[in-house]
Amino acid sequence: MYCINLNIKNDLNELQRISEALTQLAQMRNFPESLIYDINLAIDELVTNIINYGFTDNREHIIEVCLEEDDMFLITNIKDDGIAFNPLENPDPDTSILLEDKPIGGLGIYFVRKKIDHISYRRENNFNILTLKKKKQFN
Amino acid sequence: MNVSEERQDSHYILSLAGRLDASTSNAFEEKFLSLIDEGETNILLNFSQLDYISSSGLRVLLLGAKKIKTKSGKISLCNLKSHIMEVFEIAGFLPLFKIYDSLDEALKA
Repeated sequence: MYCINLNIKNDLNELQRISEALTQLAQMRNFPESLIYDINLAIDELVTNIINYGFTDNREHIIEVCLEEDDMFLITNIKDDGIAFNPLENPDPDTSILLEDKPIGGLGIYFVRKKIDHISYRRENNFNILTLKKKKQFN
Repeated sequence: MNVSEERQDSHYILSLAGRLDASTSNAFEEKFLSLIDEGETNILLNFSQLDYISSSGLRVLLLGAKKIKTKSGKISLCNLKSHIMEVFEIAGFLPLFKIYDSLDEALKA
């Protein structure tokens, strides 16, 4: 099997590289668009969070995104050296709230939970390490 | 992401093409909210060429919906791809907008 490694700088323009890598992977492995959309959304939300809130200095940081597979799952590992953040502890938003009272934001992590089958988090040597597993589907 | 603008009858149409994510949502926010500030009250967003939206994009749409409501205006959407529709559904955003299958349908409404 393969492993695709992307070193993403803490710059939102880098999100584009994630979607390009996923599009290539979809072609290579014949994954349906819906699967790639879901994975892209999850990675996108998590990496955006890390870039926006993870770092307290103004230095460049590298967020490592690695894509691989086992028999059943497409697996994404995301590793960053930002402040400790466990997205599994984030409360779900109340999506039934109507317009005037609907809070701005808070949906990103919720999308990750909705779109990904298994999510695990660990803090190791000052790194956040997230593993996302999404059941594979084929065209 | 590219945005093209056009006025047709009473609608101000913004057609979005590409990806509305955290890297593109700020530019769109500026354009969209300034239109509402300038007094547009009937904005139609055409998503026929929009391939992707994340929570950053939804955030801007929600800001716009709140702002236009204070002016008794409305935002309509048309031509949502199925993945985008699904994101709206999960977020509980479907009740916030008038959503049409096609541009024609939206213009007739």
